[in-house]
Amino acid sequence: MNRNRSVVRGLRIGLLAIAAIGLAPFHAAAQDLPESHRLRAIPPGAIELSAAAKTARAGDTITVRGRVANADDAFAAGRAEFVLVDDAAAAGVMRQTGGQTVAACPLKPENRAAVQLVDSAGKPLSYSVKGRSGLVPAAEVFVTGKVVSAATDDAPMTIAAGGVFVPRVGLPAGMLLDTAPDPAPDVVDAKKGLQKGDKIVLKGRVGGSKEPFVKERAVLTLVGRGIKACDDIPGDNCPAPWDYCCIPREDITLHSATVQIVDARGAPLRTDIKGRWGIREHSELIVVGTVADVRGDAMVVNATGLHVVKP
Amino acid sequence: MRLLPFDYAVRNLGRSPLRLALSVLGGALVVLLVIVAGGFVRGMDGALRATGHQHNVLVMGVGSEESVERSEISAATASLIEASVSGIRTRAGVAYVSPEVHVMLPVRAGPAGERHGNAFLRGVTPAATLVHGDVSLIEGRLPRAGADEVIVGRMAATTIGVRQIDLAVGAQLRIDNRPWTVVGRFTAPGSVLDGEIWAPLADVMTATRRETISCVVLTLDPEQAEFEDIAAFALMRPDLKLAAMPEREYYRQLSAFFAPIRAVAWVTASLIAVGGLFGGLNTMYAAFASRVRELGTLQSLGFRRGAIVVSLVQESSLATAAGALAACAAGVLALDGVGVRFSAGAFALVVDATVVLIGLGSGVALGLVGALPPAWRCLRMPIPTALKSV
Repeated sequence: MNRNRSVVRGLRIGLLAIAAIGLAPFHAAAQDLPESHRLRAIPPGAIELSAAAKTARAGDTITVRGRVANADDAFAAGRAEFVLVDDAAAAGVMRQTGGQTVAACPLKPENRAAVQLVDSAGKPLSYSVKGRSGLVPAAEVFVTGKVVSAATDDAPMTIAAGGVFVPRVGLPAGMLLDTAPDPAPDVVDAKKGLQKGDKIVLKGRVGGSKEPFVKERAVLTLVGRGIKACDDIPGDNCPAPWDYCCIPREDITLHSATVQIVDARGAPLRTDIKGRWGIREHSELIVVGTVADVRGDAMVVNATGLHVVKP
Repeated sequence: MRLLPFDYAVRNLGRSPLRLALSVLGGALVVLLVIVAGGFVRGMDGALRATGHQHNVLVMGVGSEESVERSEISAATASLIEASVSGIRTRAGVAYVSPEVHVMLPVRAGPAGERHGNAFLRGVTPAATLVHGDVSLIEGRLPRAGADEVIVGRMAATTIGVRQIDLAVGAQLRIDNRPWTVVGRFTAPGSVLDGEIWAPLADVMTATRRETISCVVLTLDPEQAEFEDIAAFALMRPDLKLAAMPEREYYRQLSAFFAPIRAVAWVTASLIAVGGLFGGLNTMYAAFASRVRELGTLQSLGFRRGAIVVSLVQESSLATAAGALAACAAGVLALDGVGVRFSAGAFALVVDATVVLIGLGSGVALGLVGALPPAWRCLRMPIPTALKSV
């Protein structure tokens, strides 16, 4: 009798263990997008959604940056589909709504797209992707995939996503400036006489050291044209011309500013700037923001807008 | 194929004790050199890779990322980092932030200062014992600031090139023409810190007449901060001219810098092994040539050439394997842990299982490869000719 009871108990424990082991991967999978559709980093060459929508035709492969609609209808129920909206357009709506979720996405078709995660037969996967891998309303998203149908006056573009990347922390909506602020003085001129809290617009190239970006932090250094980068000097074959290695460190500090995009606590956002909009070392940018700190010739700027002059 | 009995090969070994001794000795020497090379490579690589804590970050002067000894940063950097970056590990309210001076200086030791060499001197504060958790005091006490006292690593004597007794607790050293007293000994097993001398930061700064420090070593709380927070701090304070690097990455780079030296060690060992192989070939040619008639007889008795080759290889491999075993025993007993000086300090030769296996493998390979060509040459002869040979 006792023996039978032990056998039953053993079987029960065994079944529970098997069930726990068997369900573990499904539980983990519920948190993430399928491995086959998940990108590990910002895909190169991503352009803004509205810019892509203007030219993309059915069958084209595109890589776009946008934002999940901050709306109740952002995610389809029972299938892997969500509404991607243009970042600048989303910023306008979010300013009006104070960041609150709205019932339905109010943006025009050219400013949004339906993104589907499809299987090998081209059918949308049969579950909602809401909440997976950070896909939530208003999240910044990079999508690479094939255009199923182009945008028309009445209907948005539909993209069959091959890969989706959701940064751990997204940039604030509307950070990219379409048009160049005017005037945009060189770094060294823009810094003159400014104090902490002052508004600033400055133009320069990403550089000043071998690594002017910090991985997974929205920080970079911008250097003005007042000093020559290594590749501005004829015959110089420096492999990292943006490090200004032939310029004294004091001159680099005078002609540069550290640019950061901060969170509500004032700490740099835990996300990369490198790779967004093609920004890399030596890219030319115009930054709009406020002076966060001034120490001698060194200045830190909290950016509220970026315009890419030359990626 | 009918093989010759194994004891035939064993008994043949004893036919010429001198030849056997030469084969064993030759094999042992070659294997010993391979073991020295292997121990050198693993010791140096291991010491550099083992140095540095997983969550430690080295903050140094920009442009000095390849050698912290060249770095000079403001002495206030440590307190600035402590005040500005959140997520630095603390214990009982003390932050794991260690301002340090790293400098290579000539040191004189011995009763009359007659023995001398260069030592890696690290100026530290008590916080150094927090960030360098692998360091433990094995004798004496920590040095007091302002008293010109030092503690020495277990392998510091090797680094400087003096006797252990010259660095015993109570011994006097002359560093930069100032007398210093050894008040303690420490160990940091398997890392380059083992070959260093530590002294109070203020005393080292006074002795070296510098107002700057070399670096700040700090330990992050992995649940609150990441290396990138320190890298961002360095970028946001261009006035301080700082560069940040994970401590392990720094020593990994240092290890990569010494890669050519390790390659040279292997090449040298390989060349010596090839030399040993040719020596072995020569011995085996002579040994087998004198047994041509015997090998012919074995063939006439019905043993196939392959079986005879196997027996000859067994003979040769047994001799070199015996040498390899002797060399491995000598390596483990006499070479393991022997200190070797190099520019970044000192490290101990490591004769571990991997090195022993490499040694044994090369010994057996020596026996195999060394026996095949002479055996082939002897067995190529027709049986009547072999039987008639003298």
